Amino acid sequence: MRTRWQRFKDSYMLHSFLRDPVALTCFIILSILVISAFSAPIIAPHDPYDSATIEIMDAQIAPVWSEGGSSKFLLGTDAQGRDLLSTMLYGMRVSIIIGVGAVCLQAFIGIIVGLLSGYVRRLDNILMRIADVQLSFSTYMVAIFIGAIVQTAFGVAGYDKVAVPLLIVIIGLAEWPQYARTVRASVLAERKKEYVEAARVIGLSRVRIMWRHILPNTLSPVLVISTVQVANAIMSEAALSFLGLGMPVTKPSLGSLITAGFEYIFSGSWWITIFPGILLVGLILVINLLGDWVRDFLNPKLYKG
Amino acid sequence: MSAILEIQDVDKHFDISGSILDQIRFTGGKISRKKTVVKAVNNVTLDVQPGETLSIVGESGCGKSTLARTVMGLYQPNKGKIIYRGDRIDNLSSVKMLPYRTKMQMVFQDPYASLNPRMTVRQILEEPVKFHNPGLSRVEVRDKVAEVMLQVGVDPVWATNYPHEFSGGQRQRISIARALVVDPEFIAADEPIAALDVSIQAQILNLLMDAQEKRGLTYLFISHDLSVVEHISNRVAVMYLGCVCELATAKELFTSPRHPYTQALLSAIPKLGGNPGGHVKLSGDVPTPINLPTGCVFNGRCPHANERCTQEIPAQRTLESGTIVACHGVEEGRI
Amino acid sequence: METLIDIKNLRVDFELRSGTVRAVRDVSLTINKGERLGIVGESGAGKSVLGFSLINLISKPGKITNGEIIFQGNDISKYSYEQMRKIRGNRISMIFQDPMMTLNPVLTIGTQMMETVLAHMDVSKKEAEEICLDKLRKVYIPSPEKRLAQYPHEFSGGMRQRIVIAISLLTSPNLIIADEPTTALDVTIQAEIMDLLLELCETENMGLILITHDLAVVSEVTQRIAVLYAGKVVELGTAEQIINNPQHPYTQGLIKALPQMAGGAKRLNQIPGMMPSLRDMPTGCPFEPRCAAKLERCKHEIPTLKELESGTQVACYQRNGGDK
Repeated sequence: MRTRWQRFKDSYMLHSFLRDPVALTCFIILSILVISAFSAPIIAPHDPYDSATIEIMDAQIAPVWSEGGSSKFLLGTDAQGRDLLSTMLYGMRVSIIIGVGAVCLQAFIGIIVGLLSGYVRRLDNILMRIADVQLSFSTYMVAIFIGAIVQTAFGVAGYDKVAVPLLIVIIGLAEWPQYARTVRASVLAERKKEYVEAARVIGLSRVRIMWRHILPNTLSPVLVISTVQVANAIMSEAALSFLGLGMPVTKPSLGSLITAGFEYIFSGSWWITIFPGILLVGLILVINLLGDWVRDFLNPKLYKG
Repeated sequence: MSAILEIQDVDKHFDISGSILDQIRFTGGKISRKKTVVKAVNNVTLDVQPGETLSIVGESGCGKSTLARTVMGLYQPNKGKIIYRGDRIDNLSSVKMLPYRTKMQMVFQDPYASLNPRMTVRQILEEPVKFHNPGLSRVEVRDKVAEVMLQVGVDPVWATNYPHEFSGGQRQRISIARALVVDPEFIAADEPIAALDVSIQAQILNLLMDAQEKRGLTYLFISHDLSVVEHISNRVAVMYLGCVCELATAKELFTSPRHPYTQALLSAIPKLGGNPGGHVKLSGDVPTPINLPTGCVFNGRCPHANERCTQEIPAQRTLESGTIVACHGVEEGRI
Repeated sequence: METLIDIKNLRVDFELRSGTVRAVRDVSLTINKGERLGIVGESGAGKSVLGFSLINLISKPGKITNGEIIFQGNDISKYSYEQMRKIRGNRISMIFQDPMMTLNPVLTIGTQMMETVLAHMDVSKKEAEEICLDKLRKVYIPSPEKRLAQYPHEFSGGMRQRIVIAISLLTSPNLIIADEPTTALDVTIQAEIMDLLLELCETENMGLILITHDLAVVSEVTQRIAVLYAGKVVELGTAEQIINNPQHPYTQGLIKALPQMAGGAKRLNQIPGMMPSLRDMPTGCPFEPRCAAKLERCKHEIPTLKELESGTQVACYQRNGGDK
């Protein structure tokens, strides 16, 4: 009899994970990024949200190693005088929260819709048509629309407060059909299998079969697309912020930092755009590479052998 | 002696026409709706006596698996009745059906798909017990599971393992344990050994027969393997395209088959140490259950078919030997 | 009798993530011209791997690591890809289990057959078509001219397998390897296909290697049978001797386990335990853990095939077949 921890330690998954240099490196990098993002209040040298500490005189100072830099601001400052490093850390935190939050919402809606659609034949048609309609709405159009309404209703200050949940809702609603379709495909496949028939022969209710038997077996593909979806959500948020529809300037995410620095790139203050850009690319890259590893690992053809 | 299970004139058809858009056809200048129906089971009447093993044999597409699933309530029959110990069960709601679920169980063919890959053996076996006996304590449930695992030959120590850690034969034992753990009276076994190696088949068959003897079980055994069927059955029903061609005791069927399809089937079985050739050749291909021929379903391939066979569906008739045959040729004395 | 193919000490290994697995261990067999040999074994015994390795169809992570396959005087196990191409589908053909997987669903039968002919034979298109029609007639497919333009899904399972057989005949090969050709088919169709294969072997003077788990089928169709267990040949003899007078305890167990051999007893004779996984082979004879007739030395030494007076070869110390 082995406990769950023992089983995990012995597992083939852990074994092959530790042996794959790409996966291990990405995991370490991602851990560093996530931990530093969430400990931003502790480790960041300055607080970019505290307007009292920001002086406009500090604006556009170069990074510490170039001419004109100051050791007070390691990576320089942005156009408002905020320390770039601290802002990036807080910004990364916002990006990750929105990315993960949006994916949780997508997964929640998508899994429920997919389960119902796959298992209850009568609901299939209507639910999938709703998904199709959802897909035909462009995320940006929805964002502009909802963003405009909220900004008018709450005013700019109010918008700051609801920006994060709002973005989570917008991006979450945009992509749930992806999950729904994946889960539905899995459910349709699992439904025909004999262990489901056996569960019906035992007399279990439909809900119980869906929840206890079918759902756990549809989660592999969900896991695979989740990593990619997190990366996509972070990118969507960055794009929205870049267009001015996302995070406000006072509470920037990586995307809005990139936007904010864009106009200064040719006037010499290249660091305002480039550093957040590198960080964003790096974050998405490691998430994607980890997702590739998960997908390859869970590939049935490979692990059956 | 009254039958434990009666299948009365049951039909099971599947409408695979699809949505309205799939059905519309444009032929000869007119728009029409085309319905595609798979007639899997047609007018089947059978009874199963308590304690016996009734086997249903036939090739792919004959409807034997569909019939078993209809009996177990996985499908609703389109016509006819399923009667268990005098009670009609095919039209019951799932709640009313619950008491019968402990009495009737099923064992499936594919050992790899019949166990939930995400549940441990313990969870798989405890679930039916806990569901039907909510009053039992944890220890009692665990004991019952351990007891049934020993009976099927799987060491209870492995109860925390997952199905993929077992071989095909062991998984089938676990499937059988799941069926036995609710103490049923009747088990429908859908090709339970077809997916196993020859040396394991013998083990599982012995297990099934031991369980039958110890618990007084009644089996409805579906198979395409005639040598296995000959060994374990009391009576055998031969199906072709959803219809029962012949129903006889095992001995009678294998020594003197009456229906032409049964004769062809028996002659086609390869015999150990036999000589090649000498098989009854059936003309044509197996038709699909979608477009059933008119009259006797076998008339397209039967070497003895006549005019009447293409028009009239033969009724089941009992012969002096006790065998029930549905064949015009036998009735007319031609075969 | 002229030797067609001579397999000597063939060894096939698979380099898996968890280690090296030996699927075929030192197998030696000969097949003569026009002879029909059956290779019988259960799943995991290595019979399909053996069949594939004869025409070098084993792909990574599998590899032939030892031995020779002498065909028409040459060791084809060492052949390059180009050299092997001239043999595969040409001198040695193979028939697989599932005809729907063997036939390309998006190409017509005609295209697939012509492709094979034109790849191996230097003939004009018209001549190639004639050859295709001729072979379709040989497998008793009615109206072959119409069939060439049809797609595989328009045929039933039995017809598809006949077409696959016709394709394998196109180049008039010397040897056909059939890997479970009728397992996926119904009993009545199986009988027809086996009769057909038998007839073709006789009329075309081809050798046949029939790989299957079904003892009854091999006993009807083949002349000699090799019994495979855990990658080794444990018994080799004429069909009649193997069925009526099996020598190796595994073969005996296998035959006794069949329902027709229960002899009126209710319980079937079962072989206890299971075939060992190729990953953890016992030292010594692979059948030893399940054997009722084992000796002390069976645990430590692996028996090799030795011939008995009857002509059957057995790898078993109990039968005095192993090395002293």
